[in-house]
Amino acid sequence: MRAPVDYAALLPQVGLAAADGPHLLAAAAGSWARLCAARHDLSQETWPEGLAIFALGSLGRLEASPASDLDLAVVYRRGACDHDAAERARPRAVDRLRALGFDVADKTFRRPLALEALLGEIGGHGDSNEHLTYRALLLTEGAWLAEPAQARAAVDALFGAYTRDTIARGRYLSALSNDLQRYYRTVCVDYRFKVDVVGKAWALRNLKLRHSRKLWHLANLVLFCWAAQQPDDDAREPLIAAHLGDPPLARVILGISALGGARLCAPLCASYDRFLGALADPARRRRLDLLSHAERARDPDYRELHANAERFDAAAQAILAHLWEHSRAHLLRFGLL
Amino acid sequence: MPPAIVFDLIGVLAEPSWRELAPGRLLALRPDRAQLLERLHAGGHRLLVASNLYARWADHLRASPGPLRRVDAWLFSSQLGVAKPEPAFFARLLEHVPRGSLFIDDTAANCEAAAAAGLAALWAWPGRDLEGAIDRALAAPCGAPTS
Repeated sequence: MRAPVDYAALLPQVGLAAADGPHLLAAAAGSWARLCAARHDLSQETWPEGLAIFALGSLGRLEASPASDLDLAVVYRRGACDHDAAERARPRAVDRLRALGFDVADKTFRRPLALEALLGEIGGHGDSNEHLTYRALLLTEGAWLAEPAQARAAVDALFGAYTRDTIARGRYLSALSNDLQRYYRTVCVDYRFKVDVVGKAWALRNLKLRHSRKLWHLANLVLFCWAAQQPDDDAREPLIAAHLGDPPLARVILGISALGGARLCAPLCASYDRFLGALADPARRRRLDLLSHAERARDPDYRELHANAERFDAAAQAILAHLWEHSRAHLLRFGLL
Repeated sequence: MPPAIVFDLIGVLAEPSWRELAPGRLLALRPDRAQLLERLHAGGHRLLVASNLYARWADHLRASPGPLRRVDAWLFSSQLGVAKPEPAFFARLLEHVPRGSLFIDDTAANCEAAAAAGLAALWAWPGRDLEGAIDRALAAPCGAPTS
């Protein structure tokens, strides 16, 4: 992602007016402004050679609101930066960002990772859920916060890890496509563990799975089906590289439009806009965080968002049906089988 | 004599793009491209930078002690009065390098214009194995098309 996403230009492509997506527009503009503020602030510090800092999650997707937390990822190159230096750099970044008002999460991405660890053993015994998560999210929603030259080189190296293979790369970058699907399935299973085993709040997680996570997965399917229509790898790979980092909704709109189904995106955009609007309301988020599973049917916030998730599902299914019509062989062979 | 190689600056050698909030102090050479410049210089290639970036934004890069010292000539649209992909830009570039020189840019339209002007254009799309592509282009017979 090299520029702010312009939903005011994209929505008319699908038959909506900019006014039909107020929360999409607000989230995109607000996220970009927050991203720029963070970049400017972090540029005041000197960071270790070989280290890059990224925003992942809703800020990286340009879907954040002031109520969103920030997933911060620190990646470094072995040889240029040692792990201890990267460990010391992270809290400095966190302190600065918290002073700017960011709610920096200390969960999945709390420790710096070496780029070489993400590249070295894709699919092997040393590959972990953590590595998969970093790869999938850096490629699809990683927005640099500090050291952009290091960050771009790191993301290019990740993409290159899939394109440079000579035997397993296959046509259509199937190893990359499979890794993204693997991450999505991991997140779905991880929900069960977090909610049923660890006892974390379930409602917001469930609704994110049914909206933003599903949209992320759909966007990847659309992009790869779109790329499959290109004549050869020389056209396919630049297309995937150019759009893999687009916000997921933009990726869906661009891809489905290229496949002749732009209007199908309108209900998807409308329901996603409602979802982002709900997430931007801190009081609503708090109520959902406290909601017990047993009380869900009586809670108006949950019921409304659950119904929205049903509409979102229907819209996603219509898009999938379009992919089935226009890129059936690819969807069947690489998306399902 | 090894062919001259012309690089775009932002998106190929350095980051970030001006669209991404790029005050001068953020602008930096990519580590992988630093190694590439050193290797090509050691191979005897003449290295040039052809950029649409404001020259003053790149001043601190040009003055840096790193591998950008290996660059033999810098061409900035702001100083030439013409920008890529205008044909006039490539006419000016051809005053510095012979036809058939390798031209590398992350914008496809610039590559198309360069190829039309007689340069061997290589599109550095994000994520491309640029080192491998350059090596293949340099190994190809003179005049062979690149992409």
